[in-house]
Amino acid sequence: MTENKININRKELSSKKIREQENFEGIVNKHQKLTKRPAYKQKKYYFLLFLILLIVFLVYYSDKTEKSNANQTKIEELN
Amino acid sequence: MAFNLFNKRIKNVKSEKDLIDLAKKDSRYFAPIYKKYHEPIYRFIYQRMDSQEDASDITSQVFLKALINLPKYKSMGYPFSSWLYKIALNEVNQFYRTNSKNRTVNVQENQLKDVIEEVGENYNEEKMQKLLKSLTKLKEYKLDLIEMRFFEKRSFKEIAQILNITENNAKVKTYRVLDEVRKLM
Repeated sequence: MTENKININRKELSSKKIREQENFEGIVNKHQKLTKRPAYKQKKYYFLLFLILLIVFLVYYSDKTEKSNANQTKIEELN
Repeated sequence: MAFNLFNKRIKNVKSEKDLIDLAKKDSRYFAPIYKKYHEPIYRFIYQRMDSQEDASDITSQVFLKALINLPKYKSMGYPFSSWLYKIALNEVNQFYRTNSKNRTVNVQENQLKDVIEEVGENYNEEKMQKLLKSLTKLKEYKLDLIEMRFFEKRSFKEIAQILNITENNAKVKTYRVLDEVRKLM
């Protein structure tokens, strides 16, 4: 069985010395690292996804209208 | 701009409860709570530690755990400090279990005198040595009770809140430990 260690009359720490050890920023940073939402759950991820889809749609649409315009001019030329 | 708005908002917050509610959504609002309780929590931990480094690490761990678990915190009519002390006590006990170190007790001579008188004995050098020897043999939770009641002079109500037991139970348990100390002496 382990025995407890007893220290008698140890000098108390001053408030100033304890205040020096405050580190709220460090705790908040650690907390943010631990609780940060995964990339796929972040708003910026959805915004990026929206932008990509928009670009894909625009490229597809412009390609389609270009083709139909080309077909139209071909028909007009044949007529 | 955002910082000014934050400062303005924090000044308008009147009660600790409001601050806790805000801190549940934004950890920056936890700063005034941290400032208020850092010293008492640090002292509570250092009282049970050998080194300042360990006390400092555990104090940070306590506030980190408090921040993580803050969304789950519900005020049950107990002061917020009791919740922090409960986390601190768990962290201290966890520290000794994982490091398999001997538990440290820091005590002043006059506090030992109080325990000897409570046990119903007269204070002298021999009794003090016997008390010290009996304190070295006490188990973790028994030591917690003696420390909180006689060394830190906490009320039974406060002890009960920290240990999550009833006030009556805290009283009964403390006097049982005192009985054990008396026998060991």
